[in-house]
Amino acid sequence: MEQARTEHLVRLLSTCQEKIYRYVFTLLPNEQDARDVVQETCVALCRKFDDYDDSKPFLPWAYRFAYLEVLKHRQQKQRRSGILLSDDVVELLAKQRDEQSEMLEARLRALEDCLRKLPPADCELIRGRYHARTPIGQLAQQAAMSQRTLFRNLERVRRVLFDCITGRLSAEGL
Amino acid sequence: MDAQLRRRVERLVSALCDGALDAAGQRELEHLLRESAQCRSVYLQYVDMHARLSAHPNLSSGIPFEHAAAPSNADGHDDGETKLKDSAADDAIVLELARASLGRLTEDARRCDRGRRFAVWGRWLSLGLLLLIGVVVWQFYLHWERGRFPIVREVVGAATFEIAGVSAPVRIGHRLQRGERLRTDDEFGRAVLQYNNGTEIVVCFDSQVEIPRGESDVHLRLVSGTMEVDAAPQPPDRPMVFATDHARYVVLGTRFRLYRETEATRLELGEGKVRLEREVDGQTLDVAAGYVAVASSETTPLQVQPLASARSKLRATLKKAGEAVAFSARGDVLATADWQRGLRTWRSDETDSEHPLAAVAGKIGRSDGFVYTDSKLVHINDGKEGAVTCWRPEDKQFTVIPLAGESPRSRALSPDGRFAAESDNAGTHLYALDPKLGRCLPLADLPNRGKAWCLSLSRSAKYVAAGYWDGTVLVHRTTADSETDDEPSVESVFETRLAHTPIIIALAEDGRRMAVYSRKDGLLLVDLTTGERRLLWAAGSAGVTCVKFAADGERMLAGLGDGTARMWSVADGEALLVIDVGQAPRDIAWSEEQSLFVTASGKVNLWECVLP
Repeated sequence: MEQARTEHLVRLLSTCQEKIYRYVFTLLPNEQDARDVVQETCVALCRKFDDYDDSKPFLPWAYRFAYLEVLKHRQQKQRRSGILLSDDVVELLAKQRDEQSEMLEARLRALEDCLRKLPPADCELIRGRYHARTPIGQLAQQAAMSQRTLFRNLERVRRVLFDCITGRLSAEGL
Repeated sequence: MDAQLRRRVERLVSALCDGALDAAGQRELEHLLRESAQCRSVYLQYVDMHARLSAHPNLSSGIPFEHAAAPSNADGHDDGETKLKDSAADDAIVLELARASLGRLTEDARRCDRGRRFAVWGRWLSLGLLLLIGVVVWQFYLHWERGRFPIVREVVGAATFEIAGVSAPVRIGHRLQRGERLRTDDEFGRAVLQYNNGTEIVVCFDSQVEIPRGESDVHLRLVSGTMEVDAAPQPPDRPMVFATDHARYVVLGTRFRLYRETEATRLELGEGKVRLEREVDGQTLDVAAGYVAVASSETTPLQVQPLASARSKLRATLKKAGEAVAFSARGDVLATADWQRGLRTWRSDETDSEHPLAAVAGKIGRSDGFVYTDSKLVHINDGKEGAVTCWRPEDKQFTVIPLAGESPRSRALSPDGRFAAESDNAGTHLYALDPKLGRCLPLADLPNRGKAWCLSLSRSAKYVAAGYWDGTVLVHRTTADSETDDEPSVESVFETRLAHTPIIIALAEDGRRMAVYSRKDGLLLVDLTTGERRLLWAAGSAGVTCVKFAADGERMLAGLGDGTARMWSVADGEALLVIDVGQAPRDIAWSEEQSLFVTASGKVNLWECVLP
C-alpha cells in the first residue's frame, strides 16, 4: 500500500475505530469479543482498503466488514458456547442501528454533559467500572456493598444517564 | 412505549452489560428484541452508551473524575491508549504512533494471512496427499484383489459359470469372482484360466472349479474333475493355494495336476515343489517333481510315489493326420486314419509331416477300431451305417465292406483285422471280413443281453468282451477262427458287474486280461483267469478316452481327458509313463520295437520313450 494511502487509512481508523467498536458491541455485547472482532475488522479493512472508494463515506463501508466479522465470530464462538443473540435478532439490530445512527451520535454528544451532572458517588462508580476497569468483585468490596447491590446501582446510574440524555435531546427538539 | 416494559429492557440490558444476564434473561431479551422495534431502540441506545463508556472511559475531559489523567490500570502502569489520549494535542505524534501501530497490525495481519494461507494450503495439500495415498492404496488393493482371481483365457467346447444359482456360458476374458463356479461340460471341452502373475490353469473336461468365498488364502478350489496348474514363481510369503475337500496345496512355482477323485485327491507334480496339507488331520507333506501323492479322508500316513519310471520325448508331430493310429507289426510304419481325409502311412522315424509313404483319400467315418496287419489297413467306423474300410497301401482305392447291423451301439475289430463285431437291438453279432470279396460273413451271435455299450475282440476273435448299460461285463470265448465250416460256438467264460455302465473296454490280444472303464469304477485291469481287479485310474477325476494293450500284452496304454497319455505295467500295475500331450488323445498306439508311443487327437504325436 502506498504511504499516502496508508496514512489515509490510519486517519480513518483513528477516527472511526471507536464507532466501529460501538457498532460491534451492539451486535456482540461482550467487551472482549467485541475487541477481537474490531481487531479482525481492522485487518480486513487494511487488506481490502485498495478497494475502498474515497468518494463514499468510510463508516458504512467499514460497518459491512464489521458485520461480516461479527457473523464470522459468532459462528466460531457458537461452537464453544451457545450464549449469544440469535442470528435474526442480530440482523434486526444491525438494520435498526443503521437507521438510528444519527440519533445515537446525538445521544453520545449529550452523554458528556450528563456525566458531569452525576453525583460524586455515581461518578466514582462509573469511573471504577469503566475508567479503572476494576473487577466487579473488587469494586463491590471497595464500595462496601454486595455485587447484587453494585449491579443495581450501576443499573440505576445508567438509567439516570439514559433519562438525562433523553431529556436533553427532547429539549433540543430531537 | 410502556414504561414498565422499558424498565424491563433497561434492566436486562444493564445485566447484559455487566455480564450478569442469565440464560433465562437472555431468552427474554431476545424475545423482546425480536418482537419490538422500540425495545430494540432502547437496547441500542443503552448498549451504545455502555460501549461509549467502555471504549472511551476518558472522554472525561470535563467529567469530574478525580483521576482522569491518572494511571488507568489498577497496577498503576499507564497503557498506550491512555498515553495516546494524554498527548492527543500533538497530532503528528498520534499519527506516527498510529501508523506504527497500524504497520505492526498490517504486518501481523500479513503474517497471520500468510500463516492462514499456509495453513489452508497445508490443509489442502494434506487432503490431496491423503486422497492420493488412498487412491494408490485402493488401486493396489484392486490390483492385488483382481490378481487373485483368474480370467478365462481359452474355452474349448462348452463351459459355464454359476453364481448364486444362476448359470451362463463362459466368455473369453471373463474374470471369475468370489463364489463363482466354472464347469466344463463337453466330453473334450476345457477352459484355460490365467492369473495376473502368469499362472495358468487348465480345467479339464467334466470338471468344476470355484473361487471359494470364505477361504481368503485359497485361490481356487477343485470341486470335481481335473485341473492342470502351471504356476509362475510365487513369493515365499504369499504362495498360491489350491484346495479340494481333502487337502490344500501350497505352491511355490511349479507345474502339477490335481485330480479330484471320488474318494481322494491325487496330485501329480511335474516341476517344482508343492506342500500338501491334508484337511482331515492337518498332516503336511512336501511333494517333489516327478512324484504323486494321494490325499483322502482317511488318516493313514501320507506317502509319495514316483509318477512314472520311464521318460519320453516328442519326436515328431504329424499335423491333421487323423484320430486313429496303428503300427505295422515291426513298428517301422505308422498308419493314420482321418475320418474326412482318408488313410495314410508314414515311416516311424519320419519327421516330415508333409510327405506320407502312401495315402488314399476319402471319407471313412469316425473310427471305432483301426489296425494295421498283414500289410493292410483295416478301419471300422462308428456311424449308423457301419462299414469296414480295407486298404493295401499299394492300392489306389480302399475297399468298403458294409455291415448289416441296424443302429448299432458299438463296434470292434480284432487286432488281426480279420473279424469284426457290432451290437444293436438284435444282439451282438460277430463277422468274418473278406476284403477280397468286399463282404463280411456273419459268424455267430452272442446271447442277446441288449445293446452292448462297448465291445472288444482278442486276436482271431477268440474272445469277445461286451459291456452293458447295467454295468455287466461279459466275456465269451468263440471258435470263430476254426477251419471247420460249422457255426462257431460261443461260450461265456467271464462275467462281472461294475457300479456303472462301462464306456470303454479292451481285451489283450491273448484274451487273458481285460481293461474296462466306467465313470464310477475308474479304469480297471481285470485278470480273466483269476477275476482279480486292479484299479489303475480312480473314478471321479479325468475321464479315460481310449485304452489299448500293447501287442505283447505286458503293457497297457490309455489316453485321458486331462490331455495325458499313460502306460502301466500289466504285471503289477506300476505306472511306467506319463506323457503330457496337451489334448485328450482319441487313440493311442505303442511300438515295442521302435519304443514309440503315438497319440492321436487330430494331430498325431510320436513320442520316443525310454522304458526301465
